[in-house]
Amino acid sequence: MQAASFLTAGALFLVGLYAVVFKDNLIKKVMGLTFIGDAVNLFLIAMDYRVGGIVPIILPGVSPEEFAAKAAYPLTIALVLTNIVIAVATISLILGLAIKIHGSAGTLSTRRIWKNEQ
Amino acid sequence: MNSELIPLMVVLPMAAAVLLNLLHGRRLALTAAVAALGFIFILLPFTVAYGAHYFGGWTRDGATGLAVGIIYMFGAHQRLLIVFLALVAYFAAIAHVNSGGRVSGVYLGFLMLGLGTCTAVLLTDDLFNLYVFLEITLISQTALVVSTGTEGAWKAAVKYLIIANVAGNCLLLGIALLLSLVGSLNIADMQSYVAANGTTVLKSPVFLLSCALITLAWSYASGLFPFHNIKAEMYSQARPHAAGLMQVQTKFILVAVGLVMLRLFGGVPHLRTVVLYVAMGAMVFGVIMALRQDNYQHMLSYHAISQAGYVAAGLSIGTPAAVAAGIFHALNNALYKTALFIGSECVQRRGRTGEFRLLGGLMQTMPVVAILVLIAKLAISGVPPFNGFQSKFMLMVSAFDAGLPEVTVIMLLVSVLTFISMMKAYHMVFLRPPEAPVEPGEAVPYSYTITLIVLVGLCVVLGFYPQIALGYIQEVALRTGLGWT
Repeated sequence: MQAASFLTAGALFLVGLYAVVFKDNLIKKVMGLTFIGDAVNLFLIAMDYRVGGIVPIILPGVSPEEFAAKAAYPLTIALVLTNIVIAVATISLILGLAIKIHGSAGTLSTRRIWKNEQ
Repeated sequence: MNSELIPLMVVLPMAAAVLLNLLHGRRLALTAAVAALGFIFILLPFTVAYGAHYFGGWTRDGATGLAVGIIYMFGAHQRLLIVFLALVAYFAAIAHVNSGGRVSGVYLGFLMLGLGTCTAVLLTDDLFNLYVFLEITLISQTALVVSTGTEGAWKAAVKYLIIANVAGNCLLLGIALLLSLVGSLNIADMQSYVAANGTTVLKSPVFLLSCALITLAWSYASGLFPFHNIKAEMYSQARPHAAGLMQVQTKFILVAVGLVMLRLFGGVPHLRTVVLYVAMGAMVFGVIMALRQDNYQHMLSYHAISQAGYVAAGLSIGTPAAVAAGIFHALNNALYKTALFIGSECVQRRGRTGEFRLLGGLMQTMPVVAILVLIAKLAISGVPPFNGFQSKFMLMVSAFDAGLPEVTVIMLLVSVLTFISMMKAYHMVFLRPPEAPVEPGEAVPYSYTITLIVLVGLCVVLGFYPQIALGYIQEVALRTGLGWT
């Protein structure tokens, strides 16, 4: 299960990187970025997967010993939540700028947008 | 002991960012707030005692010895870096308030946000916390560029954000890999793990992959080769005072993350050699690109990249003397480069353009600014007795002492090219008569001249008395520095 998650994360990362590097359309590049972000988040969650584990919340009926032995490591989940918030901010900003650029340049083709840049 | 005041250096600027947003549209209130807050932020680091702050009161786990919560460490070098950062942010805010246009609380808020987040990057001893604040700093920088409202700024910002997003994810992946090895996000814990596991960890593929990912992200965040063009484009598109602040943030992030890398990856074979090549690439390509520019601010932007190369070279050589010289150069650069960007704003106001071919004869119309800019240009070129000479000389000597005479030669050549580029620009902007008669633009406000006097004055003081700054830096250089092998 964990290995499959790592492989999926690796595949998502590569697909995302391909879109960012080779796709011309700005929106497709942004989709690539979300793939990369999801890959890293999946990697973080899979990292602390435990076979037969339980959620890291002390529920009624769970003894401290059982919790210590079985609970998944909660730190990476916190990291993923923070990373999602950062990604929302960054991607929103890029999409907002994409609207502005489309309005002024009339295109979302990055080749044409960046053609006359230094 | 838990020093409760340390987080204030992060929290207060971020609270100020919110306050300034709320005051948007009220010119008088914004001016008063900027004047008061600026002084507070510059003086605050002097009132906070050195030490550590354990968030939530969580210290270290009794059984494992690992950090439980986020820890901020505050030492002498951080005090000096934060004071310089606050000083530059204050001058940038003052420049905006006196720019003659509409005073924006939102814009001032982003200046303060950048101050708070960059301070957090300097203070934190938690790698994930560093990642979070690094990302917010990049967003605040983007906002400052986008606020100019030009199509060029939007295009540059999109490119910057796309690559920043990839680099940020690489950094997080690198941090995740380190977490899987150490079981903690605390940098001191990671350093202890690396020290305890010696050569075994240096051969671990997970550790080496993490090292590669974090180095890549650091190179991007610092605007080093091969990402130098993107960063320079951002500086070119920002208002000059914002570009000044952004390049200071970038240099200080370079120092903060560079010190972390020395602590964690200093022993990785060939890493410092690779980073040294990257640093030299930034130095050389930065100055060559600067020589080709026909716009004053664009030229300064590429010089900012070239100077970042010097700082990175010092950190990658990694000996205590080189680390001290690298940090000292970052501080010096904060002074003279900000002065040059503010000077460029004066030129753009008075000359109505930043294009060299349309400028000329500004020595007659603003002689005080012209003289102050000349001193800043001599300082960045490494001419004695100014501060740039002191740090560049220290860098060259430390490279030579480490057995790298070729690096010394390259540093010297880049310095000569910097001098040529700066003097060429000075001649075109201030000395030669304009090719066509130019209608004089707006007068330069006194606040700009006072800003230049303070910054250039500090360049002179640190040129004559470098030990003032070095006294703050020596401890971290001795603690972090390694031998060059």
